[in-house]
Formats: sequence, structure tokens, C-alpha cells
Amino acid sequence: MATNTSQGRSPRYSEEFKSLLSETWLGYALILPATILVAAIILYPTVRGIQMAFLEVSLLQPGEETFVGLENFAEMANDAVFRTALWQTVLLTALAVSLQYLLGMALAMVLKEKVPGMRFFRSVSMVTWVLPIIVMVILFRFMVQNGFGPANIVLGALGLETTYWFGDPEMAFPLIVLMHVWRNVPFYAIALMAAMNSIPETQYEAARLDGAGALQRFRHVTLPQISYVSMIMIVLHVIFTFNNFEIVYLSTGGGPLGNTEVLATYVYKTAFETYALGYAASMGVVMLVIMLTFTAVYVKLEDTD
Amino acid sequence: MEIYILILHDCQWEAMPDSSPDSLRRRKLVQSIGLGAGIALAGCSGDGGDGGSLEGDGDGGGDSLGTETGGGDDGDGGSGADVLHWDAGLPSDEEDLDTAISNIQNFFEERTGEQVQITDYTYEDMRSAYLTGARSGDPDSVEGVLSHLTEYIEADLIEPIGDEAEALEWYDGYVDSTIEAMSYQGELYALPYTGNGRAMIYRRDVFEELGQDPPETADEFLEVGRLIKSETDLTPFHNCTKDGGVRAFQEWMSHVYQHTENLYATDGDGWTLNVDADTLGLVFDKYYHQVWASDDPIADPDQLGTGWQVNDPGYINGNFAMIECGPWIRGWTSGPEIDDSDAASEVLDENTAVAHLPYAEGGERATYLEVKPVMVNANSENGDLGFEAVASRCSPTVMEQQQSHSPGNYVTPVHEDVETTLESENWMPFTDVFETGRALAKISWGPVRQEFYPLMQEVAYGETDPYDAGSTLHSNLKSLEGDL
Repeated sequence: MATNTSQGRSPRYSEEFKSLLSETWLGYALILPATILVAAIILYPTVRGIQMAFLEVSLLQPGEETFVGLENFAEMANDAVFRTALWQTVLLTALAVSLQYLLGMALAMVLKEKVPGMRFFRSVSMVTWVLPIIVMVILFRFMVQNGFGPANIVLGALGLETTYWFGDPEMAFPLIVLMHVWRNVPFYAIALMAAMNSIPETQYEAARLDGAGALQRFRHVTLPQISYVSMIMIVLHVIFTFNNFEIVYLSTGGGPLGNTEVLATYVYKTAFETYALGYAASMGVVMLVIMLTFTAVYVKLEDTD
Repeated sequence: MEIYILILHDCQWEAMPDSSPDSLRRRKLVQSIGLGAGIALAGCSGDGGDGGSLEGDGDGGGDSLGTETGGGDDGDGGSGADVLHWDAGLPSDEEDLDTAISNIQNFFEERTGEQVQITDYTYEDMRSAYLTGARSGDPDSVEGVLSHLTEYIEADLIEPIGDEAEALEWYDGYVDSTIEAMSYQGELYALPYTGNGRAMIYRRDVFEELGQDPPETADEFLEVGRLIKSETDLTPFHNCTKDGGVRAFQEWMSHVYQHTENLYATDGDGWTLNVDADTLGLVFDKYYHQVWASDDPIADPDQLGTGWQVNDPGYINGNFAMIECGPWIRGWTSGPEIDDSDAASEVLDENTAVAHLPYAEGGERATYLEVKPVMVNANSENGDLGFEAVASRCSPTVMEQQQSHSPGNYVTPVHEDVETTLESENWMPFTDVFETGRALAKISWGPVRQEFYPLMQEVAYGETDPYDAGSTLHSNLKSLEGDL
């Protein structure tokens, strides 16, 4: 009996093992190390950050922690700089991402055209996106320098006002938006163009036969079929812009008069200048919640559509 | 539901149908993991994962060019080194950087027979990295500025080196005031390698043409500034007003020091604010309101919000008649910021002179003392070799070797065996200015800086009365006493 049982099991185990190797589990096993690594890199700092949001802890004495419950969040509610930074972050994100999407779409439609030199133009158009942020900021700072900046030379020649625009309380914020737009429009354009190119030409022909004009073809053929790529682009760039630190910090430091202060720069200053790690972490948690909520709602709405 | 696999091929998403029911769950799972990881990483990376090194405002005096370069430039290629040293005070020019690093490494190797790896940083990146990572034991030694020394002491990240330092054969030659600046509560925490005092750098030719002497007081300074404005095409004066700019803070501190030995004084175990509200208002009035926001400003209001990147090159390019600066500006006659090298040489070599900073009523000659410390990591497993790296960086032999590429760092040497690099009579007053320098108190300066910037900008932009701002700042600084 035992021998029979043993003989009966072997083929079954063998089959299961083969199935395991050949089927899904092998795939899961292969991605497991990378998944664990990514989870460790992402989960540990996230959990530690959330934990610190409920503590009073100094950057200079990180070992001395005091549990303060929701005190950090209560302080945030009364912090005028935080409220300003939050509003300016939301405004910057909304303006930058909207403009990037619209201009990216327009550029994509241009790049899609099969005209001579377009392949070269496509490559060149990515330059702004691949440029390191520090180089971009130095370039912009130079361009708007009073006296010798090219932008001011042109404005001066036209008899218009010249100034150091990053130092102008009214113009610094629009300039930050412009930098985001200038940098990211090509990336939107390439992604949207790729999505547009994947739409079968026959669908446009069918729409034409049905009497659809250019606008209707765009509305009913193009837009629905680039919505998934649009969603990915918008979600990613909302997160990029909302969390962006370098562009503001390097160009204005949050000034003038706090007019370009955003949450990322305020969190940095709180953690590294006033050493209040717990309070900075609590602001980070608020940013995380806002971004998670936005992403979940947006993806759900897109899925429903 | 039909699933499509999207493949980007030749700028086109190619759609491949995959309608297997099993694949739906698997793909959803993998998609979710991928999307989650992507979003999280996007959140971490900020903008497109580009990252990039922070430029760092620094103080504009990190080296002879007053600029700071990006980090991550290994000194000896990394592997095999016994000690790791971080430094932000090295030259920005590639060739000079290699020479500077070799000088330190060779001296270190001669003394110890070991190797030291030197990593070039910006001050801002280095400070953040050290505050967050020094407990791991790396680096073994670190260079910095005075405010870093205080923070590192407070954070228990550096260790006293008094006994080892006193055993050095060249220890007695360090200038007393610089050793004092490296000490706290009787313990020596660092050795210095460079120092300077902030002075008024002015266009001698313009002053001579107008028959004026350099201003001694703030009122004379404003008066001569208005005269220059009316008689020449130059902008009379410029100082730094960028939010968060370390240089702006140092310039303000220079004028505070003209009225008090220190902003905070020790009071038993704690610190107490050592200046009154009117004085803070007076400093705001004379050097920010009158300069930028009065009816007759002596700076160009279109340059508001700028830092050393405009201040120093602006003077060298012949746009400003006066700035407050250290000796690093000497010799800065080339680079992307300089319009015309010959003209810059003429401005700096022939038409520039140096004087004490002007002081307002009730004040006296004094200035911000910049002394750069080199420290040993308290968590280093190679503490002894870490100290040798400090000793090598701060030895008079290495200082003299570094003079060829960084003359600005050795205008006012911190060691008596090192000759000054000054040759021009016009620049000699830097030596006197250095002697009036006052070092930062050993407190955590970050919160003080954060209180200063918004009020300074409000005054410079004409949004707030300088004396109201002084009163607010006084009250805010007073409330920090317990946290310093």
C-alpha cells in the first residue's frame, strides 16, 4: 500500500511542481524580491513618517521623542504660513498641471503631423524635460536678471518694465508656474502623441463617413481613447508638482514675502531650520492624505467613465 | 471585459488583446503593485525623478570664486580609503579641486601612511546629509561653517579634540580668536583653516572723483550713496535680500554685532536675548528700509530678492559702487558670471578699496566673523584618523599649498605661519576688519534665521515699518530663548 501511495503521490507532486513552475507562482516568486525591496524602501519611511507626526522630536536630538497625540495637527490649524503654503501648493498644482495638459495636447497634435523635419523636432522638444532642474533654474534666473538677462533686454527694447522677476512679489509665482509648464509640456506631448498614434485610422474614416467634423472627431474618437494615458499623466504630474521642492527652493527660496512658499519648502524649513521633525512629519502626513485622496477619487472617476 | 497590453513602440501605443479571465486578476494585481510603486516613487522623487543637487545659497564665500559646486566628486576614486572626509570649502574649478584634494591627501598620507577619501559637497547638502546620517559613523571628519559647528555640538555629532589638537606641533600658531570661535564651554571642537571679516568694498575711483572718504557711520553711508546716485550711472549699493539666503543673514548679523557683543548671551545654563527692539529696528531702518524702500533708495528696487549671485558679480561687473563682502571676491575675474575679465580685473585691482562697515548711532566698528571649522564625527569608528584628516586640512603646510588656487581664503590667515595673499595696499584693511570680527554664539541658529527672513523682506519691500519689524523680531527672538 505504502509503495502504491508513494507511487501515486509522486506524479501528482511532480505535476503540481511543474504547474507551479510553469504557471503563475513562478512569476510571483520572481517579482517577490523586488516587491519586498520596494515595499521596504517605501513602507518603512512612510510608517516612520506617520509615527513621527504624533511625536515631538527634534532633528538635533532624534532619540528624544515625546508622544503629543494630535498636537502637531492642532498647531497646523493655527499656522498661517502653513495655510498660505497649502493654498499656494494647490493653486500651483492646478495651474501647472492644467496648462501642461492643454499645451501638451496641442503640441502632441502638432508632433503627430507627418511633415518633413518632425522627427527631429520631436527629439528636440524633449530637451526641456531632460534638463536637470538646477540647470533649468539657473537658466531662468539668468534670463530674468535685471540689466543683462535676455528677457529683460527684450522687454527693455520694447519699452516695457524690467525688473528681477523672481524678486517681484506679483510675478514670482506665475514664473514658478511657467517653469513647471516649460519643463513638462514636452513629456505630456510625447505621451499623448503615442496614445493618439495608437488609434486606428479606420475609426477616423468611419467618423468622417458619418459626417463628423474635426472637432467632433477629436471629441468622440480621440479624447476617449487617450483618457487612460491622460489619467496616468495627470495623476503623476499632480503628485510631482504638489511635492516639488527644488524649483521653488532654488529660484526664490519661498519668497519674496512668502508669495511662493509651498508645502514642500515649508516642510524642509521646518525640519532643517527649526529642527521640528515631528511638526514637519505631520505636514508630510497631510500632504500624503491629500495626494492619496486625489489619486483614489480621480482613478475611480476615470474607471467609472 | 477585454484587456489590452499597451506597448510603446515608435511613439505609438500598440494594443495587444488579452482576454483570458485568469490574466485579468493577475494583471490587475501586478498593475496595482506597479501603479502603487510608481506613484509612491513619484511622490518621493518630486519632479520626474530628476532630483539633482541643491545648489545651496551658501554664503558666497565658499572658495575663491564665491561659488559652490555640486557634490559627489570623489577625491581619490573611493575604494581602499581608510577615512572619509566631507568638504564644501574646496575650489569649484575642476583642476583646482583636484589639486586641493591632492594636497590634503598627500599630507595625510605622509603623517599616517593611510589614505583619506574626500567628498566635495555644497554646504547646504552637506549639512542636511550630516545631520541626518552622521550617526552611521560616516564621514569621519567634516568641514563646515560656524553655525554648523553649533548644530553638530547640540546634536552630539562632533567630539572635542582639545588634547589631540594641543599635541600638534603647529597648534600654538593659530590666531586666538579663531580657536575661541571653535570652542564651547571650555572644549575645543574643531580646527580652523580660513577666516575673514565682512567689510565694505567700494569703488575707490568713484569716491575719489566725488571727493568722498569711505563712510564711517550709517548716515554718512546713506548720504554718500545718494550722492553717487545723483552724480553717476552706478547703483550706489547692493545687499542680499533673498529669502533663506545665508549671506543675507550674515550681512544683517554684521550690523547687529556693531551694537552688541552677541545676539544672545549666556545666562546660567540658558541664553538670553542681548539686544533691544529699537536697535533691531535701527538696523532694519538703515540697511534695509533706507537702502531699498525709502523715498530715495540707494539700491535698485528692481534687484530686490536677490542673493550673492547678483551681489558679488554685480560689483565685479562694475554695476554697484559699494557692497558688503569678504575677501573671496579678490581674484574673481573669470567665469560665466563675469561680463568682461579685463574690466573685472581693472575694477578689483585698481579701482577697489576696503573699509570697515558703517555703523548706526550707538554702534561701533564690528563685523560678522567667518571662521570655517573642520570637525571629527563623534560616531566615527576611526576617530584618530578622523582627527588626522582635520589636522591635515588645517595644517599651515596645506594652507600655504592651497593659496595658489584659493587666494581669497588666505587673505587673513588663521595661522601665524601662513603669509597673507594680500599684495594690494587697497585691500590691506581686511586685516583690521578681521580683528573686529565677532563669532556666532554657540546656539542653534536655524530658528533665528527663520524669524529674520520674512521681516527683513517685509521691510526691504516697504511692507512694514522698520521699527515695527524690529519690535516684532525682538518679541519673536525673545520667545526662542528657551529653545536655543
